[in-house]
Order: sequence, then structure tokens, then C-alpha cells
Amino acid sequence: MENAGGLLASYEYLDSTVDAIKGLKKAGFETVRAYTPYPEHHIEDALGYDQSPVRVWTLVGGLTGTATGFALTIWTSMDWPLVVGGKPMVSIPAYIIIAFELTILFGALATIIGLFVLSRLPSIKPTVVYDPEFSSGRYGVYVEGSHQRLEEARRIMNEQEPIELREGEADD
Amino acid sequence: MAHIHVPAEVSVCYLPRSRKANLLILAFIVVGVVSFYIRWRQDPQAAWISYITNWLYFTSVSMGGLLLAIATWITKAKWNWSMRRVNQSFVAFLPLSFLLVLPMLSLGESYFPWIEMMAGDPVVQKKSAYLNMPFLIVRNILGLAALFGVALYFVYLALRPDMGLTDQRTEAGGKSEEAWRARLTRGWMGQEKEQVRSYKRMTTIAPVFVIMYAVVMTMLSYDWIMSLEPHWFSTMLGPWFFMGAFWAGIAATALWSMYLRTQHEDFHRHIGLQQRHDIGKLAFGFCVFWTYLFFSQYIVIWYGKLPWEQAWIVRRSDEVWGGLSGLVILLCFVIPFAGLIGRKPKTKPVLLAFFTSVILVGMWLERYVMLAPSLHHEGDPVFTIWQPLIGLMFLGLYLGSVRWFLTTFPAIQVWQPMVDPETREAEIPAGFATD
Amino acid sequence: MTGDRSREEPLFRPLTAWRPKLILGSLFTGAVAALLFYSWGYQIRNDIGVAGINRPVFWGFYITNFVFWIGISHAGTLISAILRVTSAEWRRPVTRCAEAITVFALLIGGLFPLIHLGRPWLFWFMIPLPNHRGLWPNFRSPLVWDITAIGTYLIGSILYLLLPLLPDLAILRDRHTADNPDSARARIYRFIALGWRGTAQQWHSLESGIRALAVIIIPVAVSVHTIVSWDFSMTLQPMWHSTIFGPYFVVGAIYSGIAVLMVTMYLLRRGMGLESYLNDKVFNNLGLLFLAFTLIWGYFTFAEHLTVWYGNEPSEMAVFTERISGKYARIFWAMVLLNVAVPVLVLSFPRGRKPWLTAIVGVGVLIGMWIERFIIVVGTLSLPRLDFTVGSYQPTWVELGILVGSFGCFALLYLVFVQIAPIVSIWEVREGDHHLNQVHSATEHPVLETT
Repeated sequence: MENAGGLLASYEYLDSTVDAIKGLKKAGFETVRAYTPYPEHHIEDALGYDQSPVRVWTLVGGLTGTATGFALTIWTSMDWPLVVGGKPMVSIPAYIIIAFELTILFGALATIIGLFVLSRLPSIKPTVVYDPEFSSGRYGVYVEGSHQRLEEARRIMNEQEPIELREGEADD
Repeated sequence: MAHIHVPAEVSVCYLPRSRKANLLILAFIVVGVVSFYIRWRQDPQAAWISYITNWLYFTSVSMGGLLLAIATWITKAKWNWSMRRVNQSFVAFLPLSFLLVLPMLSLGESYFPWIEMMAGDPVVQKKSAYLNMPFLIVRNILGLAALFGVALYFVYLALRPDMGLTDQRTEAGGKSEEAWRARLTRGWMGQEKEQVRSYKRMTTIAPVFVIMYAVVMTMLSYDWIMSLEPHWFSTMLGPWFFMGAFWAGIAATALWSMYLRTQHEDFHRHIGLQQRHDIGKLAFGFCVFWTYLFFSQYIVIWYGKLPWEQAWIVRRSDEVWGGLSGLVILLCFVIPFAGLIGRKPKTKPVLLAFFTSVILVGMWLERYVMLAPSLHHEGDPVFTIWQPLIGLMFLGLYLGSVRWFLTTFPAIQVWQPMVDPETREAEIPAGFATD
Repeated sequence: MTGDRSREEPLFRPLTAWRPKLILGSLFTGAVAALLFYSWGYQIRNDIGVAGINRPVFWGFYITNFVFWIGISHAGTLISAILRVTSAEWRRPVTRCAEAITVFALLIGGLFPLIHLGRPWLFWFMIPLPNHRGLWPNFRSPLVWDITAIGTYLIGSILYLLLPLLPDLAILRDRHTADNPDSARARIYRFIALGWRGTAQQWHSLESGIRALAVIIIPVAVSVHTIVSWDFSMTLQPMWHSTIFGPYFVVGAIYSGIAVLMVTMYLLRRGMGLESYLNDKVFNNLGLLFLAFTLIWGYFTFAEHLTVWYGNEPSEMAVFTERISGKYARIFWAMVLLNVAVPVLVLSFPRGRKPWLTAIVGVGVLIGMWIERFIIVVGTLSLPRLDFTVGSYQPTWVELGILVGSFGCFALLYLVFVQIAPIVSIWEVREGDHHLNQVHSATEHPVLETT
């Protein structure tokens, strides 16, 4: 965004953080980001997060795994037909096990991939929009907007008495 | 995560009495008894098969519900505070169940195939230490009496403190309620003391009940299912049988709770989202578990291909019985698994009631398919209308006894002993001890 | 601010500076671990004949250890996942050290089939790789199920360990960067924290991801030991071909898993001064779970033996009698004593669920569970259906060395892990403290009550 910037405030208390986020949201700011030392549902609610889409990744991954499991076992036993132990060529009960394991395997891997995509990880490059205190107890609120609008944001954020308020723009 | 909120003052509410329901239940029982008599005149063995499968089923449901009450007591679960009494109410069927098992024990050679085989079959002869009529009668009577006795005592302990709290209820109690109150408050020691005593004793006998449940239910499955094909044995049958019973008890609890919600404002409020979600999760989890147990038994037998062992499976999956077995898999795995996997069906009362009903029907058929094919004569129909008709007798007795319980005693446990002062203190880590 | 930070200090201590005690411990356990590799190397050089396994007892210590270690691996992931799914508050200090047990026990357990192979380099035959002979693995074989299941479980468990670790690594990154941004530790943690910033979005996804993993890891953990049991029950060997084996093994696995968890937790508590995390309440609760599994395991053992006795098949009865009153009777009853009698007598009482007592019971149960696997493996194989092949089994020093070395390996991996990552999940404990704080101060901050 041209002619735009960001503001980062750190707060000591959860309720001031929640109020700041609510105020910013009310004022119509779209890019509001919060930093917390642990998952905090009040903040997620204030930001208007719904159920996370990670579970969809799990489900899709899992179903892919099921299909792969059956496809792999059935195709390989047809590829080189060999009767073992008097069992049918396509021994579904035995292949259920492989399909089940691959369901979980693919589901787990898809969960991780989905999680990383959704939370923009990994991003090892250091960024100005972060404060090491966020990992040890403080809450942070970051907002983005044009310069005129940022003054309004500054006012809203200051209302809740931040420990620190500084300018900086996220590069992602 | 979720902090379950148990109100400090639980309102006292009863399931409203209903003449219509009573008449319906009476009709069920009459139809059931008459059907049993007619069927018994036609074909005694078939009549007894229906009788015994239905007895096994309703005893399973009752015991499963009680196991849920006791298991959640052991784990100090709080979410089901408003459903505890629903589980406990299943105890009312147990005395009837005990009476109903007695005629089953009088069956002889015409019913149990191993009695006749004992004469000339060396494999069966080896089992004579276990398979003999006196031992069968003794172990069933003693086992069930002990198991039911512990269950009744547990519920008695749970009810007692409630009596003190419901003393001043406004609506006038009926005669039988007052009689029960007098019976349950004999030797009353005061509210506080009663609660402490009940809490301690319930906590002590709960694990004992769980062990007895496993052992006695295993015995039931051996005596009434496994021994009907005397050459066959499977170590899994016991756990499969009693885990299925547990599952049926969970499903029945969910169904009763959804029914109660429609009957009284308080139930509607207290059997909330959290409760429905959690019981729904249990119903779903046990669907997976049932399938796991079923599959692990099946694949071992399928893989082993031992003639005497796979006979049991083959008989249940051939063209005669295959359809019914398939239906069991459909009702016990496919539909509940696909249906209950999401959050919505677990929390929406109508859907939860629907899927738990499917589970209950599935489990009913499962008990039938476990037992009936072993005694099936070639050419006979695999399923007749008599099976559900005779079942109506048991259904009527079960519904009647549970309804009686819920109308006579508070249907939501008033006494909620979940604040254990000792553990509360320990839960607060150092540094927080004072506020 | 949240909570009392001074109690976190013992957690950071091994992560900020070299601790002589830990270094010495690592060296010692490393030496024990070397025994495994020395013995294994000796076996590879001189061939599998140096081990005591022979006709008809083809499975000896190696497979016993395999089942034993895979069983131990059920400590972590399964217990932690169950506690997470049921939102048990007291899980918070336990999950990390339990999950680490899983990963390391699996790594060691997975080693044993390779050791047992004799020619370990041919192990890739088990993996469905396209090859010039056009052959594929036999997917009807329990051994191929094994490798699929254990592979899945290992990957799943590693992810399940690392995922909740990520925010803690960020805490360490920030801490080390604050101390000295150019130190080696600061650089390493900057890298392995993957740039975790703790945005609400990240937490939101992380929580959802952990929950999804917890839900799907439970069935896979159950499946792993079920499939291990099928290595036995798919055969027709007496007292192996048993339908109950799946759940029976799973229960035994969880049981031995809790035992090793108790012992590990006790050592961590003593060695690292974690009394405020792994407090008496945690031990009491885990002790109750331990007791529950004592009873469940007891039931399964009873059901298994009752049914064999009921079935009364001659060759099964031969194995059965050897166990109850024959060659294996002494260790069988020792197992019953260690796995049922002692735990029930001790753990039934609140006073018996003190940390040191549960740890002692845990050691007993570990020995008992090892005996159980040994009886199952060797007891049956020495009495096969064809009685002209009756044989016996004596382990050699190679097998003993590998057994002892495996414990060294496990301890070494654990000690190294303790020096890399906080052994108690810091953010999860802080979150728990924070919840409690909210409950305490809800009246002061009415905003919290609206949601």
C-alpha cells in the first residue's frame, strides 16, 4: 500500500488489548494483528476469527491418504499377481490397514502444511513489527493503514494506555 | 479449555407423569407377553432366542448407562452433571432384568446345544469344567446378583443426599414418593455428613463396579453367545460384547436426554450445548472403538482361516445371514461414523437423537446376529416379526421402570459434589495461592 | 503480568548454560549406549549366529525388546493426546516430557527389527519402491503393516512433539537474543523457531492443528500396537492366535508407557528441581490412571487365559500349563506380582501415590511387562504345534548387551533433548496460569465475562 504505515502497541493487560482491538475494528481498520504469549480466545473473538480452516486440510489430506492406500495396495498386487497364503488377489481386509495408516499419515502431514501456510511460517527474517516481550507476557496490537487514518488508530490505541507505541510496517 | 459451569443451586425437577405414556408402555408389555406366548406355542426355541437376545440387549443398555455414570464419577467429569441421573435411572430396570433371567436358566437340552454334544464330542467334553448346567445357573445368579447389587447400592448412595435437598419442594409429592423418601432417609445423619459419606463410598465402590462389569458381562457373552457354538471360542468376544453394551448405554443416555429436553423447561436449559457435544463425542468415539474391536476380531479369524474358528464368521456372512450382518455394519459403523463426525450433528438435538437411535437399533440387531445364527435351522427365516414383537415386552418394562425412576426421584441430580476441596487447592499452582 | 516467573527458572537452566551434571550423565549414558552399537557391530561382522535365537525359537530378546520399546512409546503421544482431547487441566506440565518419551522409544523400538534382520541393509525390501525386479511388498503381511504403522506413528509423533514446541523455541529465541544476539544459542534458536511470532492468527491455527493431530494420533497409536500384536496373532501358533491380542497389547503398551512416564517424571523432578511443575497432584492423578490400567491389564490377562482354558485346545493347553505351572511359572507369577498385586496394593491408597512410590511401582511394572512379552514370544515358540521341534532359548552376551545398551540409548537421547528444549511446555503452563488468573479476577475485569 502506498503512502501507508503501521503502528505497533504493547499492552500489559488483556482487557485493554481486547478493547483496543475492538475499537480499531469498529473504526473500520482491516489489517489488525494481535500478538499474545499464549492462545487467547477473547482476542480471537475480538478479531472475529471463526473456526480455523486447519481441520479442512486434515480432512482433505486424510481422504487423499485413504485413496492412496487402496490404490497403492490394489495396483501393486495386480501389477505382479502372486497368491500368498491362500488369500484373494485383492485382500480388502488387509488393505484396509494400509489405507488407514496412510489416511493418518497424509492427514498429519496436511495438517502441518496447512498450519504453516495459514500462519505464514517459516519466516526467519527478522521483522520490526515484533517485540521479544510478546513471548514472555505482553500483548501486542499491530494495525496498518494510510497516514491520515493512522492518527485515528493512534488515538484509539493510546486510549488503552499502552506500555509502548511505535511506528513500523510489516514487510509481508 | 472449557470450564464447565455447574450452577450452585440446581433446581429440583422431575419428569412429568403422563397417563398416555403409561398406557402405551402397558400396551407394549401386553403385546410382548402375548407374542411370546404365541411364538412359544409355535416354536419354543425361536421364542427363547428372541427372549434372550432382547434380555441381553436391554440388560446391556442398562448396564452400559450405569457404567457411564460410574466411569464419569471415577474421572471426576463435570460436563455430565445434568445427565448423571439419567444414567443412574437405568438401575430401575435391573431388578426386573434379574427376574427375567431366571426362566432363561431353566432352559435345558432343547436350547443349549452343548448339553447333547457333551455325550459324544471330545472337544466339548474337554470344556465340561465350564459348560455344565449347575455351574451355569450358579455363576449367572451370583454374578448378576453381585453386579446388580453394587449398581443399586451406588445409585442409592447418589440418591440419598438429594432427599435432604428436596425436602421442602413446593409441589406436593405423591404417596409413593414420600414412601421412597422415608426409605432412603433412614438413619439420616444430616446433609453435610450424608454428602461426604456418599462421595467417599461412591468413589470407593466405583472401580469395583467397573471390574465386576467387565467380568460378569464377559461371562454373559460366553454363556449366552459363545457356548451356543461349542467348538468356537474367541478371546475378544467378552470385550466386544461389553464395550458394545457401554456404547449402547451412551447412546441411550443421549436419547433419553434429548427426550427430557422436550419435557421440561429445566432439562431444556441444563442439557446444553456442552453436554450434547460431549455425549455426541462419546457416541462417535465408541463408534470408532466398536469398529476397531469388530475389525480386530474379524481380521485375525479371516487371516487364520481355521475351520472351527471361521465357521462362526462364515455362518454370519453367507447369503442367508450376510444381509443382516451387513445391515449391522451399516447401522453401527457407516451411518453413525459419517453422521456424527462433524460438530453440528453432535450438538443439534434432532440429529443427535436420530443418530443415537440408529446406533441403538444397530446394537439391537448386533446382539441378535451374535446369537441367533448359532441356533438357526436351515430353511427357517432369519428374521421374523416376532423378534421385535417380543422385544416390546422388554422395551415396555425398560421404559416403564426408567420413567418411574425419573418421575419419582429428581431427574437432575441436585447434589453436585464436584467441588473437592482438596484438589481445588492443589490445582492452583504456587505463586497464585492467594489472590 | 502473568504468574510467577521465578518458578520457570529450573526449566531454563539447562538451556542457557552447560550443566556439569547433565554433561556427565550424557557421557555415562553414551557409554552404555555404545554397548548396543558394539554388540550389534559384532553381530553384523560375525553373523546372526552369535545370538541365541535358533530353531524353533526364532524370536528371542530382539522381538521381545521390539514389542517392549514400541509399547513404551505409547506413554507419550497417547496419554498426552487423551489428556488434551479431554482438556484435562493437569496435563499441562506432563505433555512434553511424555511426548519426548514416545519419539525416543519409537526410534529405539524401530531399531530392533533391523537388528533382528541379520542383514539390516536389505531392509528397504519392505518399502514399496519401484525396482528392477518389478516386485512389490506383500501388503497382506503383518510385517509390512508394521512398517507402515510405525513409520506413520513416528512421523506423527515427531510432528506432535515439535508443534507445541514451536512457541517455546520462540521464547528461548527471544531470551537468548536479549542476552546476546550473536551467541551461538541465539542463532540456533532463531533458526529453529522458524520465525514464530505468536500472532493471534498463528495461535489460532496452532491450537486447531494440535487438536487435529491429537485426535488422529490416538487411533494411530492404538493401531500400532494392534498391528504389532498381529505379528503374533495372524500366525496359528498356540496362544498367539488370539482375537483379543490387539486390545490386549494396546492396554499393555499404555500400561508400560505410564510406568516409564512415572519413572521419567520422578527423575526429572528430582534431577532438575521441577517440584513446582511435576507436583504431587500430577503424580496422584497419573497414579490413578496407572491404577486403572493395572486393573484393565489384569482383566485382559484374565480374559485371555480364561478363554484358553475354556477352549481347552491341546497344544494351547501345553503352552498354558508351561506358563502357569511349568518352566515359565516362576517368571509368570513374578509378572502377576509386579503387574497386579503390587500396583493394586500400593496405588489404591492416596499415600501410595506419592512420587517416589509410583516411581518404584513403575520400575516393577516395567520389569513385569518385559517378562510378559518374553513369555509370549519365547513361551510359545519353544512349544510349537509339532512337538518334535520342542526347543529352548538362552540369550547370549550380544543380546544382553543390546538390551542394556537400548536403555542407555534412550536415556542419552532424553538427556540431550532436555538440553535443547524445555521439558515442560512453558506456554501451555502459562496459559493455564492465565486461565486461573482470569477466574480469580473475573470480577475486577467485567469485560472478560461478556464472552
